[in-house]
Amino acid sequence: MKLLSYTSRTQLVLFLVLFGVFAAVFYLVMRWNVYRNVDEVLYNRKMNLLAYLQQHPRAPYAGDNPLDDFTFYKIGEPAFRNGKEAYSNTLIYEPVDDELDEYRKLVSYVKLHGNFYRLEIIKPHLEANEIITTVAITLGGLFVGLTLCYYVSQRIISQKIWKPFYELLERLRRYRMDKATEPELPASRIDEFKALNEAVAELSSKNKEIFESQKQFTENASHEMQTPLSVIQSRLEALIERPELTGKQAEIIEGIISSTQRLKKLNKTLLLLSRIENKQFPLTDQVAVKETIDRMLVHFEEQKEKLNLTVQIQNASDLTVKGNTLLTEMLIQNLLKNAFVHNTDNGKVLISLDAGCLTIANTGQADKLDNGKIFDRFYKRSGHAETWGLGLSIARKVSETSGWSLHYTHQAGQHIFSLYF
Amino acid sequence: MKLLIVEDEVALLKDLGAFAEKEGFMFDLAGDYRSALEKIMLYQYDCIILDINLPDNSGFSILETLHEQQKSDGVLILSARDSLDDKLKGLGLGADDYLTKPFYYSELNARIKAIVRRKQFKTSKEVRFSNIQINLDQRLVAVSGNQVNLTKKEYAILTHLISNRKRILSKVALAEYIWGDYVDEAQSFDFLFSHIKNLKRKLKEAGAGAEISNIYGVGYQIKEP
Repeated sequence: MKLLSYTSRTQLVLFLVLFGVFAAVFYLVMRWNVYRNVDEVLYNRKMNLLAYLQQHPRAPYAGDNPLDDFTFYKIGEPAFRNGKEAYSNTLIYEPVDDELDEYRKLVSYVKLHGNFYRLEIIKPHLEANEIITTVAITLGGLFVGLTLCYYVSQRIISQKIWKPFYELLERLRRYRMDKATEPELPASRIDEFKALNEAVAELSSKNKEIFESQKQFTENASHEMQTPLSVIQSRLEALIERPELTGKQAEIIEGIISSTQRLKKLNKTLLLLSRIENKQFPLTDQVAVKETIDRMLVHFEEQKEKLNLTVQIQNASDLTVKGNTLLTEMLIQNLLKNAFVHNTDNGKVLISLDAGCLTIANTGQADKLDNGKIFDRFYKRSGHAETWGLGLSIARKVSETSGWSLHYTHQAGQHIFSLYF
Repeated sequence: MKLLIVEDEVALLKDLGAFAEKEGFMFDLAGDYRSALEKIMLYQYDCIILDINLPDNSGFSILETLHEQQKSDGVLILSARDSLDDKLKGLGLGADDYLTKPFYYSELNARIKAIVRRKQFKTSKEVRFSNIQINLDQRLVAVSGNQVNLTKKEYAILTHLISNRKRILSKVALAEYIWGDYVDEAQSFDFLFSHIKNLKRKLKEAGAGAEISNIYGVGYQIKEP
């Protein structure tokens, strides 16, 4: 539920209650006013009547005359003494419209020309129904009008004032920390939105800073490791040349050289990954894919002979793609290496290069690989202790950076990597 | 042949000095930008091994100075910064080669020699070792005048071994020189072993006096008889 409709709804319910209470109070006040008014009229009528009758004793008043609104009932003195003037409501049958109408009645006790009377005067007044109807119509109309005004104004407010908020929301949704652009914040005159904008701007710039320094950290750390690694390596090289070196020592040193080499390669790979992430490679070269593959294949000749692999190249078109030469080589190298290294004896490597798609398929021992994991860093499947599980992750990273897509499928016992340019 | 080695990491500077001594180069050492600049102004070097990240200034400034002074010293940048920009910048400023740390001395050695060879405009690009002659331009190998047919990789191994004849080339360094990152280490050793076996056989059949010996299984060295 939108904040605006939630507040509107709450406010409308509150309005409704308020209008209900107000209507009741309005009704009561109005009725009281009507009674007071009618009572005053009745009282004045009584006084005028009595004054008139005092002056005109001959006037026929004692009998019940349907033409007038008063009736004198002759009573005894004790009743006169005990009688108290009172106003009350009464219903009188009206034959014309066949219903009971509400009247106000004044009962008074008077002494006129020596006789005692109970004087009753009646006056019709505004009926409760009518009052209620009036109240309902006026207040109801007011309520409907108010609700309508409220709704319309809220719509306008929502569209005008909340617009920057929704724009901000949309920009935040599209904001990616690894993209270079800061979310551009919409201008607003509203203080709260201004504050929100400022907070978002601050947050994003701070995050950006942290993200940048994090990225920079990996790169710097890898760089800093290069020098000590150089020293270790050069010392080891010096060590194997010592004349007093024994076979046993040589074996140990070889192990250290090997590990150092692995560390060196890992470091180099991590550096490469972080440099790809830092977008340090311009993607403006024209790379001839077929040529690159041919150049790479030379390096896998030994592996091909060792496993007696059959290498087939199909539909080799002269495809040229736009990207970074170094990265594209890295990508193809990793895919080829993957196909050659994780192969079986007498296996196959099929390379096909159609317009816009490079497919490298190979036979292999493993069943279908986990599509969600093979491109993860440090994910290893086979027992190759020498691999880091970084090759395919580099391949994926390069393809993402270059705007290509890399997919893996498993079909008829073959692992197939398809690269769509 | 005289080298200037500019490197701020003391341990590495010392190692580089030991390397130069072993290879029989004359050399000067400089641990920072100022002393490097001083030496460049005073002397002429065949090759300057230059670190880019120096404490008091960038190695690029040295390249700029060399350019301004119109000095023709060969420069090999030795940097931990393996970025293409740095590489292009260095080469653009007149460096002859760029080697990234960590490096193998055999590789450094080969590259220094290549730079010096280029600088000295030697017309005959031929290397002799015992009775083996190598024509570097045409990539041809002959033993006592008779041509030996070597594969590309055998040729690369042989030239690298001869270029580094004064040192033991570790298997790892040799494998990296030949295959780079293409082949995993364990496999590359097998491949290297079979290539060297073939190379040895071919040299022996051709009657080469020099022999490639395996040092405790750690590395190889080519030796004159």
